Amino acid sequence: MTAAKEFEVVGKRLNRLDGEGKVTGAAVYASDFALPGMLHGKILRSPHAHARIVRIDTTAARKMPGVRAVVTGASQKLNRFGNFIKDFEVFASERVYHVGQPVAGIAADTEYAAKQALRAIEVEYAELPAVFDVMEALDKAAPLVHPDWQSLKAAPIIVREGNRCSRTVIKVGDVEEGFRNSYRVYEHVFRTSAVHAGYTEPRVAVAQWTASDQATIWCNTQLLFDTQSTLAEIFGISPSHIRVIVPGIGGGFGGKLRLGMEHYAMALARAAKRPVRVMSSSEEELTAALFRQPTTIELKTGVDREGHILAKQGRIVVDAGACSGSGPLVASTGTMILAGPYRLPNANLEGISVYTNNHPNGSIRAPSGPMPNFATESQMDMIAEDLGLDPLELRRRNILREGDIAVNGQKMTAVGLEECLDKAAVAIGWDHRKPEHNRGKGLACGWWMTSRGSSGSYLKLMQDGTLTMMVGVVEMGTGALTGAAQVVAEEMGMKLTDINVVSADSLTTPYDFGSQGSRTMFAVANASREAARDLLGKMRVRAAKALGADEQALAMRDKAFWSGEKKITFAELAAQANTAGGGLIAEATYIAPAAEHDASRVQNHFSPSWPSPSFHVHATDLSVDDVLGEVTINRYVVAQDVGYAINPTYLEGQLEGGAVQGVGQALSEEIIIANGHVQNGNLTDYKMPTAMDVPKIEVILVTHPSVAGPYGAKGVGEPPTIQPPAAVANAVAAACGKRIMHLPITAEKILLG
Amino acid sequence: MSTTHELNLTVNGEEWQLSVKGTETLLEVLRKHLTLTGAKSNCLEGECGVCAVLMNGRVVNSCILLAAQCEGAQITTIEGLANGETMHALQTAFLNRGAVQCGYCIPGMIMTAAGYLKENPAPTEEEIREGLCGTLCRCTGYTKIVEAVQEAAQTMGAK
Amino acid sequence: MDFRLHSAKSADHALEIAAGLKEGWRYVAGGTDLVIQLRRGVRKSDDLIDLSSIASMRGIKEDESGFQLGALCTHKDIELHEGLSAAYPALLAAARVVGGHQIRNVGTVGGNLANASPAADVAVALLALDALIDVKGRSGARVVEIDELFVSSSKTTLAPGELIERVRLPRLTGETHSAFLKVGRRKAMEISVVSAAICLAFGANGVCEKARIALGAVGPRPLRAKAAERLLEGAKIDAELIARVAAQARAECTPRSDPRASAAYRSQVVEGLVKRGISQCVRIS
Repeated sequence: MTAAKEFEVVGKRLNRLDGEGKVTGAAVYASDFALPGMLHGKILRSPHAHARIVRIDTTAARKMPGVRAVVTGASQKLNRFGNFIKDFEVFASERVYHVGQPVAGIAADTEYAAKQALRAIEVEYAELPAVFDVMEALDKAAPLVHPDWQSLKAAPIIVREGNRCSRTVIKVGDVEEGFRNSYRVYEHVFRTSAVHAGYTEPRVAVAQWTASDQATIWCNTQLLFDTQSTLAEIFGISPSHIRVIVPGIGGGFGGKLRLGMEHYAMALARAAKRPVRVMSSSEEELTAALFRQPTTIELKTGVDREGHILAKQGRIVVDAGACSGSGPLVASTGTMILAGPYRLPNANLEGISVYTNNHPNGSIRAPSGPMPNFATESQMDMIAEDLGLDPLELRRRNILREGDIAVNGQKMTAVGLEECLDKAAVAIGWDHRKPEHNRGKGLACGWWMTSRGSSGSYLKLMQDGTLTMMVGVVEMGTGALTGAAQVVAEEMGMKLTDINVVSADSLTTPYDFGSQGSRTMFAVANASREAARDLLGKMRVRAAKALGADEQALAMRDKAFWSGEKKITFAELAAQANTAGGGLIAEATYIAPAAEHDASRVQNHFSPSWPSPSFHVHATDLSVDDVLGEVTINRYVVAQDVGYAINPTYLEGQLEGGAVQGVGQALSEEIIIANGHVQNGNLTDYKMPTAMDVPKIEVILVTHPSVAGPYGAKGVGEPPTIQPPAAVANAVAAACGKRIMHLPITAEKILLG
Repeated sequence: MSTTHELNLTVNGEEWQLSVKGTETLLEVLRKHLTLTGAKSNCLEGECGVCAVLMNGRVVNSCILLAAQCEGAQITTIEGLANGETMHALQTAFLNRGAVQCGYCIPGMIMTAAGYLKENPAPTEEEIREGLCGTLCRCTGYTKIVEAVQEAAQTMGAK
Repeated sequence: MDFRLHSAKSADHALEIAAGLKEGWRYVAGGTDLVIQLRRGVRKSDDLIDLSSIASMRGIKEDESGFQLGALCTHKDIELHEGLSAAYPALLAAARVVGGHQIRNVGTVGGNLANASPAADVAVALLALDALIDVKGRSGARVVEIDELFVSSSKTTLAPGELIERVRLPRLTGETHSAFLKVGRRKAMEISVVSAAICLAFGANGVCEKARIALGAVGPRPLRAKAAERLLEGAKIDAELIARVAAQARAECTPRSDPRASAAYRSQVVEGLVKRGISQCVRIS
């Protein structure tokens, strides 16, 4: 793109538009939202991993002080839901199939009263055989998590068989032939544990029915319109009769993509005929949220004497939990990460998702990124070590470069991988890989895509000459909407602070695919820029008429159109349009074009095309305490090809935060589950990194502009969480010789493993 | 069964006489009785720090502090940190350094930093990290937060 | 959580309130553990007696015999008291790693002891420092040696109604060095997976005259590795002896496996911590 041109607003480190409210405490979040007369809801959850519900008696609970409504699976007819397979129930009807599954809900005057009343609900269960291990669940003899799986509605792309709820394959060439020609073949199995998204604001919803078939929900979802349509499906009413508003959201990271508390709040509010608020407790967050799926990954790679990859066979087995959720998508996308950003002449990569009686899981930031990347990039280092090659050199010999064909048959363009690799290696001091005893350095490569999905933008010129931008996404904190506003301001010749952003109201803002998939700023900025151009055109027509000049001859500066010394300001244009009619408004939508791929290589793949791919390398320098097994990260470098930095400050913030989130998964975070029961359901024992656990994250922005992105930008939000587990694992191996194959890499595994 | 307690509290310079339940926490009093929602609600177990406020100049987790134990205390929340229209140096630095993303931990983080800087007005980077360890942030990875606290410490020291 | 809160104006007042209550009441000071336990429902109490406004139980005093810490001293009070933290580095080190600053500003030394968690950091440090606990009950005051205080997780030898008024630390004489070390999954905000406090007193000839090895989270209570201590006492400490002492200390532990760590890891790490702790004390001397 036109990187040479100097811009006024884009590319600048400007303060975010919603910043002042956030540092003064004025910002309102969903958890701050309240309505007069609002009740508080609590959920009764199953203590069993698999059981038949013999009897539920709510008589005593209904008589408890302050109780206004009790809802069970039998008391309200609610439809099943689910991303790809309709296997979720709002409240269990006949059976529970995981610990923590909602069985009943109570709305009461206070949270405490609701909680007390839950204890008065009598539920009799008859336990059924359960399965917790994905490999056992694949066995024909295993109990079926959903004996009725064939009758559950599913998307056409889903291929099911018993507990296996999806299967995706990518095939290139002939792997067997590749292995036969290989100098060495390596086979390993890697495992990863469930982790929580870690947002600091629990999921919360306030629901109010405004008519018998109309409701408004204030909540902290990342996806307004998916929430709207899913609620419509559950309650059997028209989507446009459900208004979803996000007053503010305290982090998402994928954990707030799918329904959180909205459906419970709605069901209880309908029963109570009063507004109801339901907020997840910390314990519920860590035992009953949608976690990043645990995975088992089998990986077999053949290389020639020089370390060129000749064949790669792999399988990622995703533990979807008791409801498939995003498991099929994660298993599918995982095949691309198993391939990695490498040239593969022969590959056979499979992704399957499997039902177990564990808690249902979901999509966390770069949903299938860290797990297969941990496997692939760990194995790269193991191969390098065995061949006596520098791991950096092994990667150089295999990485995708400009014009290469990726595993899905897509021709790669704007490939900044080698530059990321070189810069990260220099920054971390790769030449001294083992600077001292028990200290080592590791790196990992990765790639990701900019998800597609439509965004819309409405613009209106205000009477004071500023511009209001109305978009249907949620500002999750990434700065996406400040970035999009910078793009609009640039187009309009305005200052960033001239842009008023209105967002996240399903009734008044245009449809948007949502805050997910590293695409928010990318798509919203593209749509808004299109709308801005349209609006400018309309303004120019009016200005030309007012100034009696030729449209093409008008100059635009200082929020005014000029014809020689004569001018009309934007404010005057808006005022004129408002009084004379034909107000200055514009709209546009955007969806990224699909990248061309070779369809013959993929079967049942959810994301076979890899639009505006991004490339990234993480490198770390760490020490391992040989007495305690503790890891201390001395330095951490992120080099990411971001295409173009619309606002370098918030872009760095994405990479810094993502890297630390990934370090959490690498070293300390795991939902420990035994027989379907979470063992560490509190923030004392679920270990997110504190400020002391990480060093300053050093960020290197590499810019190989994307053709489709605004000013060449690529999606950036998810990728930084992908590489930390592998980079850390490789550095640990370099430091102390211990190769950990199962995340997280705890001190205990290092010492005793 | 809960008991009721008369409570005198000074919050952000305003004096309050409140009647609170023995089971109520300072966070509940701030958010429900005084509708000051700057201090946030999350773990309610003293593990995340989003509820942090200053009590008599020291940072505390308001979510596990029984309100009745705060008799006569001076409380400062994020809403009371600014000096009139002028933002506190920490607020300005957090804003200018890009240390704010979703912002949910930020009131607690700023109050934690404010409490720590009273104890150690010229901290090193490592000391700042230790000073902030009781408040979790998932968005930022702490890099820009630490820079912001450093900058604020310098600004405050220069005055 | 539901309870009646009773505010005590003095230690005697607290005892008086306690005498009038049915069983199941508890004292509360900072509440940083208790409030969480009550909210989680792992503990139940109908009545809490609030000690936090008892002025006589606050503050740190120093005299010839040593230091006196009011039971309501917070971890931060310990950390900020220069004389105390200079005299007992192990205590300072332990006080500085309890939770974050928010917890340290509220959590009290009395609470840390009375809560009787086997993983309590300050309790383990005080155990190595031979702290004496001034206890008050309806029948009068008594002094409890800290090693006699702990029974098992959340159980002490305090009689019903008895409260901890203050903690006394004897003045350390001659060349005495102490250290506190802990291990957790993170570098902060951790409940110790294993902790160790070491206190060694040396004679003029460099011989170890008195040794204390206190260990946390490796048994049902904060414990002392007494046989290991005896190996040190009367000996000149060298690397070989440190290794033997550490192995002995490990043998005196009965760690359990839980989601935080396995018994095997705790066992191995306690040996490493003891080694490191002794080395730290020796190096300083």
